[in-house]
Amino acid sequence: MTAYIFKRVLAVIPILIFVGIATFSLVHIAPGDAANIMAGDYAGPDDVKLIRAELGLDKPVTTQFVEWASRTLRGDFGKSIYSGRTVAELVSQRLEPTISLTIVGGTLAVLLGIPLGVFAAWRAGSRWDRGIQIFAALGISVPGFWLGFIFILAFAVYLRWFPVIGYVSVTEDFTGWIRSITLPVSLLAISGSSVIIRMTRGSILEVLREDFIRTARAKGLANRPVLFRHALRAGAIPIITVIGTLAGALITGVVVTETVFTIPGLGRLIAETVQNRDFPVVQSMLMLLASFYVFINLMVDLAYVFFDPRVRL
Amino acid sequence: MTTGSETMVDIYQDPPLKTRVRKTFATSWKTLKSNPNLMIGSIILTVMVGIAILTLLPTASTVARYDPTELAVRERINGPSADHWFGTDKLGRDVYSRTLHGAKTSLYVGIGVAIIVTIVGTSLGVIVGYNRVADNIVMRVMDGMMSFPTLILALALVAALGSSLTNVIIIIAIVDTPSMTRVVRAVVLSLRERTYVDAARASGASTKRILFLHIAPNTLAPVIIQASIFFGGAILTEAALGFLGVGTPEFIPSWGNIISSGREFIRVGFWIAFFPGVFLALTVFAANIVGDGLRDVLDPRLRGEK
Repeated sequence: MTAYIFKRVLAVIPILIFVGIATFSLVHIAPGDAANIMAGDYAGPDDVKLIRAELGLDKPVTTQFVEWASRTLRGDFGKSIYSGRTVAELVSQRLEPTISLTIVGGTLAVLLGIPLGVFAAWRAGSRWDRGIQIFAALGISVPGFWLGFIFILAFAVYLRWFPVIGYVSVTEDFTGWIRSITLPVSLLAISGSSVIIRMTRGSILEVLREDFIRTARAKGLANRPVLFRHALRAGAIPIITVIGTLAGALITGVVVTETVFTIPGLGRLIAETVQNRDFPVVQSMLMLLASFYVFINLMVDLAYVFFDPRVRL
Repeated sequence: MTTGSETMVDIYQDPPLKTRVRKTFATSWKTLKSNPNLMIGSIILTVMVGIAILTLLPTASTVARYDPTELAVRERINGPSADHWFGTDKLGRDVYSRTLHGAKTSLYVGIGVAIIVTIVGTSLGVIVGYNRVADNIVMRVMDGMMSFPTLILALALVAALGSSLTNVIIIIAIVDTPSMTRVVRAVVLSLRERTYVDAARASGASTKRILFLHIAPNTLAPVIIQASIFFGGAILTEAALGFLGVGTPEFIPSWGNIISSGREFIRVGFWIAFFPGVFLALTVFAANIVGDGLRDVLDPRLRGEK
């Protein structure tokens, strides 16, 4: 078991190195010169030179990489070309809305998705199952930004239940906070739970087909214990994987959701900086989000150890 | 076909092509009829493809009624009417014709990505499934690429490469290739242990022959399922990039950038974003249920179970 954990943790290192190299290369795969692109159409040669020096693009690539890597490892992510503020500053300012949205949205998605998925599998082929499956299919097909638009139109513009845009800090005004995140969070919960429903239903269906379930039934066990004592326990392992997938869905969802509802969070930050081609910020966000994603997936893999005795061997 | 009916009957030989084609068509019609997902999904997709083709041809003006880029400053943000079924946008352009022309862009992206990912992903998957050295190198890179959340990687690549229509297709294809490779690799790994592969090798078939004649065709089912999912996913990602303001450039109407342009007019002109969104949602929904339907039909593990 220790060996497994050790091996799994070590496997993260090459992935993070790859993430670092890929992130660093971003400036260099830009056709032409990144400094030129960033300076825009109206910049003089001096501006371009300034940006080039700012990015360190005037040095050899290897030197650049070593410098960039050592800075990044020390936690210095550089600063925005546009606003001149440090990335750390920008990120810390925008952290709260994103954390609120993802934690509340993710929790709701799990609370909604897993029971519905289990229920759909348990009643496979029934009208309930079909209804839940249609909900899930719509949830992954209907674009979040369009659904968000409909939500704003219906609940904010016509019914006036919620504010149209913006975010209220939780420390400032608790009810205001709830009102400001209700629509965005519902959006994240709908798309997130749809992914979870599909995966949960699939894995429980597979478990229900196993021999030991037939054995449990054959020995006269009632439906309820078969589901809760046998199927769910065995089905829990693949369901944990859902958390990793959910993390990916939430990161994507938050970029779109924050744009729809004009919430000043990390998702909005990355969309804005891509628009401005503010490379230092784009690179840092890429690095941060990828590391976060890798970390979540590592946690998921380690959680297997506790749920699946086979891995421990 | 040189072998006539008088030659020795070879039970391992496939039936003639004509029979196979006829059989395939007969079974696919039967499958379509028995699987409502597949049926509804294919109908919607066929309609969308029809619209896209009609807007490509000289028939565009009769179907779409207006030039999607024609400006009419006096008719800015007019609601749906007999003249403009889906209303007009902030520059007086007809939203209905822009939406129909947008179908072209979306399908172009969806089909382009599906084809690139299928070709690259299948080739890589077959190679790494059979070659240890290639496996170690390629899969480490793929693992690395999969450690980025997909939309974030796409956004970063847009920042670096810029956002022409071709770039959007290439970027989405790059983002999707690792998962296709993984799927094909997994199938190849399980296929190479099958007895029929051993039999082929024992009868002296070369590795190349085994790979392309015996293994590659059997990856077809999962590849088709994946391709249909990537088709819908690519359309959705293109629209999301367009919505975020970094996708297909504004002068090419795409569902994403039309919705994006309607965002600021939510109070006075909901129709600008509403109608293209309906088309987008329908198309992605159709692609997803076709994927589900294909999985039910093609995945032998689920066959015969309801």
